[in-house]
Amino acid sequence: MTSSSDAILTIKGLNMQFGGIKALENIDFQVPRGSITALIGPNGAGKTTVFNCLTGFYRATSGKIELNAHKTKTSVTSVLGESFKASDLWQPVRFGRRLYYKLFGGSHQVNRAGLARTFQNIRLFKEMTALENLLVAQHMQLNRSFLAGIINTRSFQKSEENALNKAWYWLEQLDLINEGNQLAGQLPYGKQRRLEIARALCTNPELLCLDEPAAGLNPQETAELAKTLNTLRSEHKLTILLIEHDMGMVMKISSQIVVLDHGLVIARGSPDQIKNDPAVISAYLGTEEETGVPEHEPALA
Amino acid sequence: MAIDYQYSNKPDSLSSNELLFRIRKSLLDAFITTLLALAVFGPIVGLELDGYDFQLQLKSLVSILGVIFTGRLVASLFFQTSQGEKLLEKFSRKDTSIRVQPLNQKAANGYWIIALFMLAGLMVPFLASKYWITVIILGMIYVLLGLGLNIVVGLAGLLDLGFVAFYAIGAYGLALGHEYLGLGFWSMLPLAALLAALSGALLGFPVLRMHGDYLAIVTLGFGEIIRLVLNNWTQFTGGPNGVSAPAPTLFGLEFKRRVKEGTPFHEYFGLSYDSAYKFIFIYLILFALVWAVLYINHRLTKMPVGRAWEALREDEIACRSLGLNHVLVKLSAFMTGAAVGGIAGVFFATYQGFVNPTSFTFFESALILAIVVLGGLGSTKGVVIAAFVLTVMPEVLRDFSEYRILMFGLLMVLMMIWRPRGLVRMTRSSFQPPQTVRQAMEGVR
Ligand SMILES: Nc1ncnc2c1ncn2[C@@H]1O[C@H](COP(=O)(O)OP(=O)(O)O)[C@@H](O)[C@H]1O
Ligand SMILES: [Mg+2]
Repeated sequence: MTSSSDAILTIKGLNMQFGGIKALENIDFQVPRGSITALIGPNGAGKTTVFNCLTGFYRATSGKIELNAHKTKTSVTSVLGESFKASDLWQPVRFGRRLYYKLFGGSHQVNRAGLARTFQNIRLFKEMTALENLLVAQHMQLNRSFLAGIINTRSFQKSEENALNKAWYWLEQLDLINEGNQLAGQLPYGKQRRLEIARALCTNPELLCLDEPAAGLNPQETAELAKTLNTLRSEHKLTILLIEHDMGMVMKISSQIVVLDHGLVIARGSPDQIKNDPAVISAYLGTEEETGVPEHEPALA
Repeated sequence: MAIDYQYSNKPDSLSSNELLFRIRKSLLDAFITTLLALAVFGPIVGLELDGYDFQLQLKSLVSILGVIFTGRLVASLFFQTSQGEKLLEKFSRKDTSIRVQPLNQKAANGYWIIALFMLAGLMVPFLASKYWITVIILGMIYVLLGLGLNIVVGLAGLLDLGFVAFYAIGAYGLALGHEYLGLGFWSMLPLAALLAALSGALLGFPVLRMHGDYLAIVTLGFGEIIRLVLNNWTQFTGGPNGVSAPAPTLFGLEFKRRVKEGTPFHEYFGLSYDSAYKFIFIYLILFALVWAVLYINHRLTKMPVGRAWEALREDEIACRSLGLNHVLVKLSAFMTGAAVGGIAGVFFATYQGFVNPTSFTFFESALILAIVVLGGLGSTKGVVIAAFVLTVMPEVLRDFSEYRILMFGLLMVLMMIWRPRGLVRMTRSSFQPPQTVRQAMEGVR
């Protein structure tokens, strides 16, 4: 395991409950900076729920999620706005921060802290062009002044031009340059997936979380995606956390794998360790398989 | 529509059997339609109240039903011919979706059309009668209202059923500001916009965390609350009796026949008094302002905030994942729309010279919403056309004023069938790729 000092994301004791259902129980793992970490597990294991917790779309029932990007440490739970405590009365700074996040906090703050994500069911702005999708993603980096925009000042034009250049750059990186001026909703499925990644990249993240990016892609597209992810990691110094079902791709590109089953982490380690882990094999194949795995798994459920 | 398509690809020569079948079917269609019409028109046209009694008006009812029966029969028969089928197909095509402007086709003649409209608009007050000037002023007030609500509903996708509240705030802002603070038209114009925007923010901040239907209900309530306050706070607002509102002044010159101090407009310029001067002046200011708002609207769609509104309409969750604070983005849309509504209110008050709560009922909100929907959510051009259609048409068709709401409903139904995306098709702008990318594109091909 990597030491915590260069982990970009640390999850400790994460619990998530929906009413009576425990979707996640005591999840612990770290994402080392510069790695490609894969989160795998059978359907309904809770992978997407982990993503939703760490991107701030769900408020975790308990646990710590710490993002260490853009040279600052951000606690996802406090950014979402915590409830006030009696001790805030004599700690005005902390009270102020709590109040600020109560009013203006939310999942968008997680993105601003350096984490970008994609969705299992693609969520593009379908009636806008691919390019406009990428411009929206750069919202926070642009000149947003009302007056400057209406008068169309020099600095406003400059800011828009930079945004366009950046958008074209990422379109080119993801092999979408011929689709820039097409409506996002009318692109073929594989291109929509890539466009969603490009859009996430436009927010300048350090950690990119991809929810089943290869779902619905053909083998050739999957291979290209794996290549792209490797380039992003090596050339753009991005850390990638991905949920994926395509084991071939996961084993090939990831440096660390975390296996989830029924809301529990049942294994973590390098691809080779995971391949031979009896708990993982039984979770995936069922206990009846003739793999020589002893039947001790019911305890996990 | 109860038209059978199963014969649509048969050749024109029909067996007599089939022909008979078609005629029978058309007759049946017409009969059913007439029955439905009877249910609708029977109580409206057929019965006439006479004190506590009512009289049967069979003659007008029968004539209406006769027209409907023959109309439906002819339509049914026509739509079964090959020409009719073609026409039907042309109309039922739902391909009114969004289009991306091709790169090399820029709106070159767009400027000519705009210049033409500007010139024509400037000539109207000097050629048209006072009556028509007031009609067009009202049309332009609704253009402003439509443009304001278009930002909220069309661009940001927030269903606001109480937009009339901001209209009322603007109108009463002018009237009460004059009454209590002695402020005139020109100082209240920006102040009313600010006031409306602030009340938009006040309403919006707690409410905009809600989604679709809840927001609609809360805004509906807000609109009614404002109206009820105006109606019942008699000492302050004058209650149902209303308040008078001042007319605009030209550098301090008033448009009245006689003024307490100084000289009125017509005396200063040595003209004889004409009550139309006031309306010509309002027309000209409003005309300039409508163009300004149109320009701002146009700019907004090319600005980060405008794009964020549209993105929010498309997918709020995706917006949040991209670092956009959805509450603030919604709030900015709400406030901008409210400010435009407030300005429209000021013009309405100054144009009427008087405001009372009956002008700010839910029907107004519905009318403004209809303008936005009819124009095509998000389309500026469409909103302008729809505003004039829905406000000027009733003036032209004065004789049918009793049927105004019926026609209104009919228009909406027809729209939903044939042009669910609005009159005007949306066009999205396209961008030229930079030089380096263009080279790469050629390399790919
Ligand atoms: N919003 C929710 N409300 C209730 N239950 C949920 C919710 N989101 C996820 N769950 C439950 O959590 C479990 C894990 O789901 P999910 O994280 O989507 O699995 P996957 O690993 O396939 O992505 C499922 O049993 C699902 O029913
Ligand atoms: Mg999932």
